Amino acid sequence: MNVYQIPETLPKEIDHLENLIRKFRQGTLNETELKANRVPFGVYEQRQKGTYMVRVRCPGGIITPQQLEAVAEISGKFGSKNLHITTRQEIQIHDVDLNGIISVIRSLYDVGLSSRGGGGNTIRNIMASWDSGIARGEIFDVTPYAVALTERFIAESDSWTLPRKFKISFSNSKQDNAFAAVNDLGFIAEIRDGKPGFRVYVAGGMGRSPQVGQLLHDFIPDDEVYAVARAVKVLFDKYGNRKNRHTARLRFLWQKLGREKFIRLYQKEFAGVKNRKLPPLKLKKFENRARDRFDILPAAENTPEFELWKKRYVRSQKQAGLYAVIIPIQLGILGISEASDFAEFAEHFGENAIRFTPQQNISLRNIPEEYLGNVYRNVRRVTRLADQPLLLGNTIVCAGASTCQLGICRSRDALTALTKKLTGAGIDLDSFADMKVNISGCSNACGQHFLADLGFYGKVGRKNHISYPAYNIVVGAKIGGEEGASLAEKIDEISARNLPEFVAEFLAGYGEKKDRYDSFTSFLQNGGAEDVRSICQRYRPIPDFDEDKNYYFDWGAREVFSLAGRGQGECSAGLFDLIEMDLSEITELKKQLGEAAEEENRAKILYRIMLLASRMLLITRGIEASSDDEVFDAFTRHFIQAKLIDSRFGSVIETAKSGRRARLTAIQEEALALAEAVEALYHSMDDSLRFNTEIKEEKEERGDEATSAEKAEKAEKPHLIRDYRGVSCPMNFVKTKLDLSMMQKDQILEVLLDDGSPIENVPRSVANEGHEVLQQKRIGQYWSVLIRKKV
Amino acid sequence: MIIYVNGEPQEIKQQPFTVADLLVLNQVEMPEMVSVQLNGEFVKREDYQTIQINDGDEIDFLYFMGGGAR
Amino acid sequence: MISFTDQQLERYSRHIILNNVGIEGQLKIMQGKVLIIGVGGLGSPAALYLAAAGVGTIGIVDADKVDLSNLQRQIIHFTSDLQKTKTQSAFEKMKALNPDVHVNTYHLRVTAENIREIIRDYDFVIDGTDNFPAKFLINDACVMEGIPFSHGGILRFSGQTMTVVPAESACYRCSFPEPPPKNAVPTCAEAGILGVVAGMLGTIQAAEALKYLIKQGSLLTNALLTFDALKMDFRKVALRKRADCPLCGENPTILRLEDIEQAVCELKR
Repeated sequence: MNVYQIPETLPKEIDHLENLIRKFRQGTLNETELKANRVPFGVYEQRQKGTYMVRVRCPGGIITPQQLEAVAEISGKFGSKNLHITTRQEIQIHDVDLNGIISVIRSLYDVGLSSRGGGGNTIRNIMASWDSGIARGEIFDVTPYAVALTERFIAESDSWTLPRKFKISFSNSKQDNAFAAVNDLGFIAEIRDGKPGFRVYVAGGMGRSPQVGQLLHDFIPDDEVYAVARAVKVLFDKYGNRKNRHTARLRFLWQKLGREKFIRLYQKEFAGVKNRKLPPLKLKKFENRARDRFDILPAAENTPEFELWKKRYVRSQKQAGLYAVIIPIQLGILGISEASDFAEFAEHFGENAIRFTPQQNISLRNIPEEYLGNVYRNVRRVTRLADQPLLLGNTIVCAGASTCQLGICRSRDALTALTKKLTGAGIDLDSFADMKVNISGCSNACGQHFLADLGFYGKVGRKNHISYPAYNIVVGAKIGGEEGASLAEKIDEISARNLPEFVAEFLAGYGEKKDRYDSFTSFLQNGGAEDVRSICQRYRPIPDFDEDKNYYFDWGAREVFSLAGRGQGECSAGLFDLIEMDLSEITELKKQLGEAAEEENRAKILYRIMLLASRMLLITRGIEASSDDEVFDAFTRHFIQAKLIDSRFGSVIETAKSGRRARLTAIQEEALALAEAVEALYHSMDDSLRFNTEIKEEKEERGDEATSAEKAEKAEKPHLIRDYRGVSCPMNFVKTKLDLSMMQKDQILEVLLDDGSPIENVPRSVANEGHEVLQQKRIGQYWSVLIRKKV
Repeated sequence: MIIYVNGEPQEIKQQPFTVADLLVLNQVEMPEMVSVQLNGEFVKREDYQTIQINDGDEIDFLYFMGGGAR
Repeated sequence: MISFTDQQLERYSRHIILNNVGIEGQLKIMQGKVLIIGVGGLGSPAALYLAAAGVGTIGIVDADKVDLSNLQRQIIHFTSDLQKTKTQSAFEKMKALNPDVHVNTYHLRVTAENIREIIRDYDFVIDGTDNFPAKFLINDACVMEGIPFSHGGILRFSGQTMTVVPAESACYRCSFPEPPPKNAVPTCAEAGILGVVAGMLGTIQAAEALKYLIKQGSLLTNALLTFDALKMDFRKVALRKRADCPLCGENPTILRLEDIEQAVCELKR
């Protein structure tokens, strides 16, 4: 059996990719072009150059035992010893080298699997409730819809060239365990007037600016699923923001257009699709029943461990006499021999027996009660977590800073530390079986902290100019239920070092009062939130670096924690934390300033404000200053001299730097104005750390006399204008350097650059070489940059 | 006394102690293939027997290396 | 006037984006002239890297033919080059790597007679020879002509190198006044060499040549860099220019070039 039908065009597309890889190897195709074709094929380059990961599409998390066995074999041949189950219910093959990519994709094709759309700006794996078709209390089985929509969409060529990724999910009940409410498009099963259909949500998503899905249809009959999905896809394709990938997801389109306009445009597309009278989805049934004959004998188990395991991991199905189990897989990492063993065993329960769950676990279904003993024995071979409480088995954690370029904290290692703490803490973890504790290494939410009861996402703390790893704490996600979804909200923060203690203390406290509340949510609303804050309060003052260096090392790290050396822009999530921290201190200090009477005290506060104002944006330029003077100097060079901040502030900075702080009170207004200017600049900054402030315009509005000379200077005609649109990095910089080398000192060069990495890199690099960047101006989709030759 | 031979400390019990003694002590098989520097100064071959090495002195052996591996 | 073709701009882009090289530095490289004496273990990587870097004119001197025993370390020569002259073999590879580079070949052995004529046309000389007479000859000739050069020597797992800027820094004779006696030179059997050691050293020499051309950083002058690949120890010993150096001192005794008798090795090289 193949779960889904692969379009006939795939072999040709594989040939094409093969051809591109050959050209790349011969040196006639550059890396960027290959990447543009390989990522939509679900092939990602790993942190280690030249090794790749292939992500295999499994709609609804379904894979047949035969297919899983084949995947394990393919990985053994061309990849690593471990497979990886994802939170989108897929499976990944890692460590494939360039030569192996095509072999992997062809071998997958041979067993009815495809990686097409595993990555890039495509229709990603379509999710479905892992217990769909078997859950007691489900509305109906949504699996056929996820599979049929997959088949339809992977045959449509516009599915591969969307503005950004597009995620779809189907849930079998209001519990929404497939997280339909936080996908770009989510369907939740409902029956109205005896007719099956769906409540439809749109524009949900996690990541840095998460949003729960917005209601698109109160109800659609099930034969309109395709029309709805098609219309949303076309809408996204037409209007999505292709210029800036950071604001490209469907939710940003919703925010840009507003509900009314979004719905209006959608209705137009929806009507258009319906008019075309496209055939509805071809649904096929996924049978859930015991096999007629078993060629193994039931294994009797009656140990206490077995009984405990049944309580933790076994659920009865709506089909009488059948059971489903959850097999917790630590971090989703499944060894190939384990996978292979398990797959072979799973064959006893039929082709429809396996699901991957969004908790990166495996579920096995359609097990007659008498065979649970056999399953238990097999499970113990597959996973080390078999005899651990569900709380630990269900925890989601992203890869974290140990392997992810974006990561701030080493979330996996934090989980290891947490697990160690919890298993030895004497807490009855089984009483928290329904709780979700998720950890992300940064705010990008790959660890799904927004969906957790108790979630964490990595941030940078800072004490005395020294950074340390820390986590924001979010609590109380509500997914499913009558009132609609809401994401977990930030409530406090804790150093990475103290995270395990925090969780242990919190759970111990909650455990004692648990019986008094009907849900975790009501606990939170009635004192639970205060509990979190008061525990955090106790851990708040972390020791100085010299007192206890442990706080400055992340879990599992051998080096002192630092953001330096991480890709600039990529770890912007952490940068925002740092900036916000300085900003909130400035706000606090301003308040204190109003209350401070003594001159000396006021001078001190003003100095601190100036220091923070000068420091807060340095990190966007990749600078971590280690002393006050360095802060002021770097600020002068990168913000005042770079004309991002008005040059009139140069003298305040000088005064602050001179050490004659007493004088600051005399120029208090200037000092505060500086802080405001920096804050304004920060608010004009986009996700790529670019500032859009046009100082020139600001000055003209003010009509400031002192700047007329500068204005004249700005009005100077460029000596040379060059158009480097379409020239990629670093060639655009190389060409800019060539132009500058042919010019006289103080002459002005204007270069036109593309949006994205060209505008992010070229001006910065030119400034690093000592030239002066006079202006960066966005013109439609590109930028004009004025550079004065200085050296 | 402690002296530093090619950057490594070496304890010497013998007194007095000349450059020639050091070559013997360190089993330099072909002294002809070595140039000696004492505290950064070149030592002439004919002075090996007479120049004394004192506590804290730094001695570098520079070996002839003729290969270019043709 | 600066003229880069688009292809050159792209070829040398990773140089040009370096702050210390840039357009100006690359131009200096493209106008530079480097002579490599001996395209063997040291000369092979040096020739390839300098050609890749776009050094305007590269001279290569070697009197030998490619021998099977060379291929373990002399990476510019391939199995298909056996019995070709080394200069021809190297010439082909350098041109294939970078057609921009002008390559002069000298299929000869440097002697007291010819060396000054040859080196005079170059900005910098790399000594990639395999014997002391040649090394002393190159040192003496370069000091007399005032041409900076990189000395290099390798033995088993070790290598040493120094850069000499005549009149400014110590020369080879400041530390090694006379060649070792003939019979003292290690026999060829003892003088095996781990192939990569040659590559490591030749590459350092090429780096010195490039730095000299672009006038950036500091050269390995007044110092002898020695390394032991077995322990991967690197050590820089400070050297001084000697007032009583027989060649570059205040009262030199070596006033003209002389060929030194070669220690004969019976083994096939």
